[in-house]
Parts: sequence; C-alpha cells; structure tokens
Amino acid sequence: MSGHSLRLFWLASLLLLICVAAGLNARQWFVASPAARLNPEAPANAGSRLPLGAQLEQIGESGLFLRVRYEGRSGYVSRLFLSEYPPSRVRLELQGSEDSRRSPRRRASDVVETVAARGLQRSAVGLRLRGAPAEYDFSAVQWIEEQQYDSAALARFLGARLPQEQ
Amino acid sequence: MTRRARVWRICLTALVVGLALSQAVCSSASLRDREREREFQRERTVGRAATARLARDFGIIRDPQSIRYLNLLAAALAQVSARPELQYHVAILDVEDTNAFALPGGYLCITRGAIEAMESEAELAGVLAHEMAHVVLKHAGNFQSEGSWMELVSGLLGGAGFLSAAVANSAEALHRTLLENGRQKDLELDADRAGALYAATLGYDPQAAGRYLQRVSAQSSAAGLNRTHPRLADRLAAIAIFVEENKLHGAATRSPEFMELKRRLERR
Repeated sequence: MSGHSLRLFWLASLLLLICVAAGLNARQWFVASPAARLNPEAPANAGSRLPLGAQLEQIGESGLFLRVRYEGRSGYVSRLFLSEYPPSRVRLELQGSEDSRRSPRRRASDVVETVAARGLQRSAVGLRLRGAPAEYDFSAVQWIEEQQYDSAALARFLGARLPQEQ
Repeated sequence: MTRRARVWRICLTALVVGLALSQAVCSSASLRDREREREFQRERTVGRAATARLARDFGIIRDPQSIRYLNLLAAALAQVSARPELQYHVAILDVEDTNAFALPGGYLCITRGAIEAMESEAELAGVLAHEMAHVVLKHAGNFQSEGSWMELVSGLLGGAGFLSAAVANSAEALHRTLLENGRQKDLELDADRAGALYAATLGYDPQAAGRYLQRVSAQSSAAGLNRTHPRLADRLAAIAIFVEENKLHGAATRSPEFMELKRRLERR
C-alpha cells in the first residue's frame, strides 16, 4: 500500500467514525405512552396510534410537538408522550428488601462504623453528612410509601374510566 | 515503509475503528438503562427529602383508604403519561391552603384545603396531572451524580434521615421554589397543557382544573398558589388554546370514590 493509499485509508476511517458518531447523536425518541398518536398533517394529538417503545427520529419541532419520522412516514407527535429512553423493563420503585427498608437506622450505623473501621475520616472521603432530625419527617414519607394497591385494583380503576376506543 | 510496518499500521487502524464502533454500539442500550436507573435513584433521594420537609411543615393525613384512592388515580394518569413505569406516591398535607406540589421521583402532595374545594374527580385528576407533568417533564432538573462515595452513603443512610449536603441543598432549594419563588412561567404553562392532555386521555374534562383554579384563586387560602404560579388569566388562556388546537374533550366525573374521599376529609 503506497503512502497516498494509506493517507486515504486513514481519512476514510476518520470519516466513518464521524458518520457513526453523527448517526448516534441524531435525536432519537421513544414512544413512552399508549396515548401517543402520529398526525401526518398538523401538530395535534390525532391520527394513527404509535406502539409503545417505537423509535422515532426527530426532524423538526413545533412547540410541544415534534415532527418525526417513523417507518418511512413523517408526522407530528406530542413531546409529552415521548421519552429519550426506551421503555424500562423494570419498575422504578423502592429498591432493597423489606427488612433493609424497615431498619434504616441500623444500616446507617453499620456504614458509619465501617467507615470508621477503615480509618477513614469523614473529611478525607469528602463525606459531609447533615443530620436532619428537626426539619424532615421521614417517618411520614415511609408511611406514604407503604400505602400500596394491587394491579387488579388498578385494572378495575382504569377500566371504569378509560374512554371506549372510537 | 516496510511491508510489515504497513500491515501493523492497517491492523492498528482496524482495531481503533472496531473499538470505536463497539463502544458506540454497547453504550446505547444497557449503559443507558443503568444510567437511567442511577439518575432515578438520585432524583428519588431528593424528592424523598423534599417530601419529608413538606410533611414536617404541614403534617400529613394518615387515612389509608383516601391515599389508596389517590394513588390509584395517580397510577391511572401515569399510564397515559411519558413515564408510565414510575410509581407515584400521593400525600395529603393537613392544611387549609389550596395548593399541590410535585416532588422529583414520583411524590405528589395535595393539601386538604384543595381537595375540600374540588367538585369532581375531573378537577382532582386535572390538578394531579398538572403536578405529574412537572415530574414527567423533569422541571426540577436533571439529577447529577454526587460521586461514588457520596452516592453510596446517601443511598444507604437516606432512610434514616441523614442527608448528604448536596441532597439537603437540593431539597431546600426545591422547598423554596415550591413555597416561595415558584417555577418559571413557561414550565407552569407546559405543565397545564400536559395535565389537560393526560386528564383528557383518561376521559376527564381537560378544562376541569381550570374551573377549579378559577373558583379558588380569589380565596385567601390560595395566596401561596397565586404567589408561585403565573396569572390565572394566562393559565386559562393557555389551557383553552391547547384544548381547542388538540380537540380534547372529556367528562366532569363525580365518582363514588371521589365523593367518599370528600366525606372522609369532612368527618375528620
């Protein structure tokens, strides 16, 4: 391979990288609500329904609506029903076991002891903790979080309220 | 350049290009999922602290049946929003003022005075949907990492009422925004439009929240609401135009559950 060919090869590689980066940075959106509709004509929530998780490419913007391309079609869809991330397969909620949630003070104490046992000073690890006994009522928040419902109750609730499909 | 050197150079180029491509592809799905979960945990930590702050200020009403109904209504609205995976927790603040607050991570607070002033489930849904829109549209901002140590300790100690300085500062700033300064006008109007859309998608009258605001805004109990929100006329106009443009419609539902909620609050 001559020096000229090699230079061309490097240039082509660089261009390829730039193209890949540009392609990945093109604004992509995901349908995050079953209420999203693609309206080919104007910025309004009407037209054909879009499936949950459908990937849309943004080609324009009009207020709260985005002009997008989807499966060769273009149209308007409300930004309110889109997310920058694909729909999550996991439910975002309280992490950790029931036991660990019920005894946060014990866990707090464990962590502080561990830090001390390792000979780490709080300042040394940038650990600035602020005790908040007076201004925050975390027991109230814990009570709020404990008020649960089951999926059957939600299904009944939704069934009684969602308008019938036209 | 020798033939051997040329081969090495080509191999090196292929390796660089290959690594760049694989890095780009891998960074899409799993890393994005993980980053989203980390960001949600940070968002939730701040929201939890800000909710605890409001709960200390006003106290909460501990009536499981009422909260269960409000949680179901919030969950139903979440299904038609852009963050259906988020679990919302609704609290009733025990105060006469008519107001409602959205906290990051899915905590929604509504005052007893606001519920008492409402006349239909559509009004309640409209107000909750407005607050939910603040969460969905991330009007409290994005939640950046505090660094691994701080994140670890905040996560483990958060439940005990210990807050990292960063979380406490964020919660305090949010508290001031909600009770004193208010959000930017554009954000409130976006939340009004989004709330109307979510409510109408679920079959509720999209103008119901506007009617509720019209009724309460002249009362002294709405002083905080008026101070922290745009002018009522601007809000009503924005909702009306949005509803008209999008041909939204619905009904002013008065469900038995809503009437029971009102009765239970009155009996207290």
